[in-house]
Amino acid sequence: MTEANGRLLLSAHARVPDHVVYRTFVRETVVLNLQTGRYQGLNVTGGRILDLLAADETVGGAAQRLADEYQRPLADVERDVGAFLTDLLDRGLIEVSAHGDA
Amino acid sequence: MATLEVDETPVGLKAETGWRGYASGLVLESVEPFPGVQPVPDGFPADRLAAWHEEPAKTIDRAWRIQDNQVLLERRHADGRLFLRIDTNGAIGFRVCAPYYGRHLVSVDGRSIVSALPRVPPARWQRLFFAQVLPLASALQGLSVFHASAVAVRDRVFAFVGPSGSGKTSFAAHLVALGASFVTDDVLALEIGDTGVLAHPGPARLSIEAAELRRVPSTQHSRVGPCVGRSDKLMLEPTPVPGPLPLAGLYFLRPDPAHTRPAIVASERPSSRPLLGAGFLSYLQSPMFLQRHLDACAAVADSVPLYDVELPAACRARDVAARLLAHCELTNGSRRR
Repeated sequence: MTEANGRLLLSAHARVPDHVVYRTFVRETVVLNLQTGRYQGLNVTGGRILDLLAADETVGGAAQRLADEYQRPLADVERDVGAFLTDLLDRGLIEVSAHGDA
Repeated sequence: MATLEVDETPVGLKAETGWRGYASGLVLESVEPFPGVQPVPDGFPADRLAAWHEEPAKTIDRAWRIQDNQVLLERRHADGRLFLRIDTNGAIGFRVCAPYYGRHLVSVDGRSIVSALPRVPPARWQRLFFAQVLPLASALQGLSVFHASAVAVRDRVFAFVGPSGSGKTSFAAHLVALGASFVTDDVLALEIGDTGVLAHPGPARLSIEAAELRRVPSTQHSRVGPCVGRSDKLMLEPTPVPGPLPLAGLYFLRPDPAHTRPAIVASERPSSRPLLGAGFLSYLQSPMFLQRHLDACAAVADSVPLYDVELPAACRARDVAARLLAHCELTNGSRRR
């Protein structure tokens, strides 16, 4: 992901599309694509990111919250969240819309 | 001149029912008592009703529009002969067919089952009926079905999930022999509610290797029930618990030659994979069934303790069952404190 794309992503909203559901288990979150029947396991942090995004946080807002909760440098968290969401995007498990369009 | 006989009466609407039994969460209606299904308890709600009746094979074949069907599952013997085929037709429902085991039509809503039974010992066609047909009807009526055995200890159900050959049936048989109550041998129907997870007893059938049954002391044979048939295994008829009970614990059976002694430990591993993999009717892939299964797995993981049973290569099922029974009692005790 280029730096410009990264900045765009941080200002965007990301959401789980209608054909995707996720449920929280004890030490993980499972994302299910209802169109393909494929499951994707996420660790606790991944599940937390989905929860923050579901609460209408922008990607950047979710990264800020995570950085606060985990007491990690914001730049590191933004990079990790960006890579994580890009992966989910490639798998069709999230949709990204520009800030305000969601 | 040859004439074409057309039966306009839809299959599934002819049932004359008089008897009601209960298994896998369904109230099964039939003309006569259905072998292996216990009578429905007094006052038991009949909101999940399945009417069953028998028809000649040609009637089922006539009702099934070949051109419209979609094969969901097909298994063949090593020599290519058909072993089992399950197909669906959107308008009629599902057909479950296995040569020498019978063919069955299950309606889309799971409320009607029509069977053509082959001229074989009843134990043979009952295997297919209880292993595939009844679980399918349960799933179509909203229950979540898992590949698991289960017993009840003090009116709480403990389920055992594991790969084929890991001992699900053997442990259940020995647990029942040691004093637990029988719930199910192979397929567990779960009902997810606001107050927790309810486990429904299966049919009164337990298929066990003859060698394993010999390890049950003769004084305890009556607990696992009489032998009512045999094929590659003995088919026993234990008495299931009379109604649904809360699920209280789930054990993942994990064969591992690296272990030297069996051990029961709180599961520290992510639980989703073995739970999701224990879904019984994996050919039901519509979004509704997929989401229901995920919801059921999440509810189980959230509401009951999960344990790993680490099993060395050579361990006696009876010894492990004795430890499991003590562990179930302990789990019950800790919930009550």
